[in-house]
Amino acid sequence: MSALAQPTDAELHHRLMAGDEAAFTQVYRRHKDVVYRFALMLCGASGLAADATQETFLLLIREPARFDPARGGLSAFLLGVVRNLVRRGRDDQAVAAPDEDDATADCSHDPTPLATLLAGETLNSLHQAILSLPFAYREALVLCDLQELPYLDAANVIGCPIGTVRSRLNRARARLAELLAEHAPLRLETTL
Amino acid sequence: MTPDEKALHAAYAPLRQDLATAVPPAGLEEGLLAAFRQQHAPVSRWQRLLQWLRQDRGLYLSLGGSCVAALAALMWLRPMLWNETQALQAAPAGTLAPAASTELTTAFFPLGDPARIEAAQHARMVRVSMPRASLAAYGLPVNPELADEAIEADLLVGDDGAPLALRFVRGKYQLI
Repeated sequence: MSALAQPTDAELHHRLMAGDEAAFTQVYRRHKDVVYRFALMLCGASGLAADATQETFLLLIREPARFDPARGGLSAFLLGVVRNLVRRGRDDQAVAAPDEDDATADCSHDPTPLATLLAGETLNSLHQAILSLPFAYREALVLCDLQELPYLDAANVIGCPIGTVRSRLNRARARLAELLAEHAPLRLETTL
Repeated sequence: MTPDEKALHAAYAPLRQDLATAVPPAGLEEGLLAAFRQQHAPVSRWQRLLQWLRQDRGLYLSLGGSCVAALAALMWLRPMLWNETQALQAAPAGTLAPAASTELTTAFFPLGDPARIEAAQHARMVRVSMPRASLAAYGLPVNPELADEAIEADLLVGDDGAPLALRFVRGKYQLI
């Protein structure tokens, strides 16, 4: 019942255009995580991801009319903006090295130090493998496989036909499988 | 789902788990709300005037344009003014003339470079008296019979005390 009472993104957008701060707060809290996580997976550095997230919501504040509810959802719009910001930043500078802290963080639930180390290593390998994919493959993989967006929404974010998303995703998965296979023997040696 | 896809999805599991804990910095929301408040801060009267001149009308009145507009307004107002003066004279004794809202003003004339008005962060309005002959400097007609009398004007003064723009003011029932 309470879910029905939640205003839609289009309603919140209409209110924030009129200067309703509460509406903006609600929009931010609803979408901040998905925007930040997408940026983080694209650029691999939490600082850059935070900057891109901030710029994305600043654009919504300064130019709210850029979002047209008739053309798609607010989430797809925000993801599209952050994607362009990260891509532009990537053109300006080399891909940032992933944060060491991030790569090994949040493994405290593992029972032993060795398990923690191995889990962190696996996660780091996966991170590195995804970051080494070409940008077009990486964004398709992050959107469809990690954020589990439907192909149509991913196509809206990227700005390409659904067929292109599918083919990029297939290539990304194949390339990722190769990269992970290269890491596998190393992991095996480590466990022996 | 093919075995390869199953293996890949299994490989994603720790990454998905890790990603689920990633959140933007806590201070970000506060900064964005401050930006939102700034964006929607109330606009002062003189800023609205400038916006009206610059955006809503799609033009910024130049000095020449202002003069033409002021002249046209005067030409249009003069017969009406004459009629109203007659009506005031014919009004029965004891009838009070309307007070505060009976002022007529010209458009603002930029003084110097109009870009200074846009650059000014704050401005205040100062009511001054000026020689009536100064009307001529802005292309406005001067009544020879009243040439010796002063005329009131509103001066828009910038942060540094320098005048930015002015407009002439007169009572609704006062001849110019």
